[in-house]
Amino acid sequence: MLCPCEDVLVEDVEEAVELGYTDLEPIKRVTAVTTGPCQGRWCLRATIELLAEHTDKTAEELGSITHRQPVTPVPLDALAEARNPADDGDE
Amino acid sequence: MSKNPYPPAALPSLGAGARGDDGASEDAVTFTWDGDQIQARPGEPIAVALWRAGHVTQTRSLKYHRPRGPMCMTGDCPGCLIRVDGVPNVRGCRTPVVDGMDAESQTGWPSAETDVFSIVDRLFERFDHERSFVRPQPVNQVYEAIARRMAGFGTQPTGEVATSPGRHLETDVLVAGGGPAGLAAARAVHQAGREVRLVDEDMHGGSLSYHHEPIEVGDLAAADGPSLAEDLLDEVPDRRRIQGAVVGLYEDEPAAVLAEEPEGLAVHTVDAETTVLAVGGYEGPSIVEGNDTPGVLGARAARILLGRWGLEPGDPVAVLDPDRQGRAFADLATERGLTVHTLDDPEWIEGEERVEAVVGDKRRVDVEAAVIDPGVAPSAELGRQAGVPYTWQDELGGRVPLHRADGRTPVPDVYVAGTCAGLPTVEAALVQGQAAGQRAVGEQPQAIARMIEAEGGLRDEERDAIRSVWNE
Ligand code: FES
Repeated sequence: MLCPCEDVLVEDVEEAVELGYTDLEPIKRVTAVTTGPCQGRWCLRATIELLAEHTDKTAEELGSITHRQPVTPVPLDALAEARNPADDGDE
Repeated sequence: MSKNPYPPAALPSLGAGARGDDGASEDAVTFTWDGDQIQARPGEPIAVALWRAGHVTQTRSLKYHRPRGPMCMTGDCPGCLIRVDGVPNVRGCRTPVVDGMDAESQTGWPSAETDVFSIVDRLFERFDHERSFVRPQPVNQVYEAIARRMAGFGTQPTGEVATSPGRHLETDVLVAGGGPAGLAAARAVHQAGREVRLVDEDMHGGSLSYHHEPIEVGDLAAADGPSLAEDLLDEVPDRRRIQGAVVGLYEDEPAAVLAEEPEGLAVHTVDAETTVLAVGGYEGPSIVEGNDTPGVLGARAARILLGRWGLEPGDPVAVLDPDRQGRAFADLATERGLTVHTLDDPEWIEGEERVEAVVGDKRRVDVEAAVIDPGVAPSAELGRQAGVPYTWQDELGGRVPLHRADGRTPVPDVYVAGTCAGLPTVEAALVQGQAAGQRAVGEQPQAIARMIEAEGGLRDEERDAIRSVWNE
């Protein structure tokens, strides 16, 4: 098991590589690896290492996925109550 | 409506586990798990209390409905996501038990432990849920309708997460992460007479909270990690600490911080002159058959369970292909009287609902838990958001930010230190954290060369890891 969030097996990634997907972003879209609740924390490095093994790319060349803000879930209510820093009234 | 089960109120500084005290004499608190009464020790995380009560399976996977249990103990895997007082997707390993709390599994039917849909795993060796049953159309409609039910993520919350108004804060230095590197950095900033804001979800010293050995490096010394964490936290005034997490960094915009305020979660914006990232890293899978069986957990997670919470993950326990963390766990477990089997060449892990045996090194041993040790990969999310370039360095555990030994990066106002810069140990993190803190307030970190060179302070591998991975 490579990605326990989305149940992606090592074989799923190997199969995707055989189909011609060799970059991280397409592999992510085809297999759903790194897209579950952990957002790649658990599986990203192992995925890069697996691809480096099965493609002609190095881990360096494979790069990484995009990490968008926020990095942990934020309740919308809390967001709605956030201050606009443009307002005055600093602490 | 129940009261704010998420976010986690501060987990207590137990330290009891780290000192070998089993804590059993303390008054128990009681909560329910899928309707059953469970006893827990005050303040321990839900995931720990469930494991202690024999409920290692706490959720099911999305597609094959395999049983899942805690694997990381740091909030970074899907193994402990549950529903608490009507709020879904609560991380049980980060949320302390509160007396009377109502915890439920949110995946699997009727529950995570007895899930009729686990038949999927038996029927299909591999199953592509996105592309199956697409045709004929009526079949697809039925499938779509049950797929959501089966996934188990679709039940609306009935509880409410308390929130509170955010504030806009200004400070000299924002330190993200309160492990050894972050604490050393925050202390350096405070000692320089500058204002620091230290942000950490847990505020008990990160990897110090379960470190059971004496620490001595530079001017820092303590009998164990929890004591050093207390000493260091004492040097950062209360009002400078924010219990929470930096959730977003932006170039030229204030940082976003999700904070656990007494009235509820708040999003603060923090304008800092410089930012020190000391955000640690993540364990991950070791690629071995059966690696997702409940009872398989990372070596750091196993150290947290035993070292911080005094919970034996299993006895006997297997340690598979150990590196530094795995060996540290094996030492601690042996010291606590557990039977530890180390396998250097593991082939597979057996067990359906819980680890039963491991096979490798030409033998098969019955165990209750299996500890894997893939090493800790640096966390890169915030660094990349801040525009720091990253490069792959095998010896530093994966992708690391370009940085100097003293934490400077190509982004002038962003510094990195500790595990997120690929450092292997708390001692190394303390040294680099202190240097990064001094740099962040414009001081020359005189001490770093001295501390790196000092006899008896750092081991060779630590000296090697504190180095420049950035050539201008
Ligand atoms: S997220 Fe809680 S055990 Fe991994």
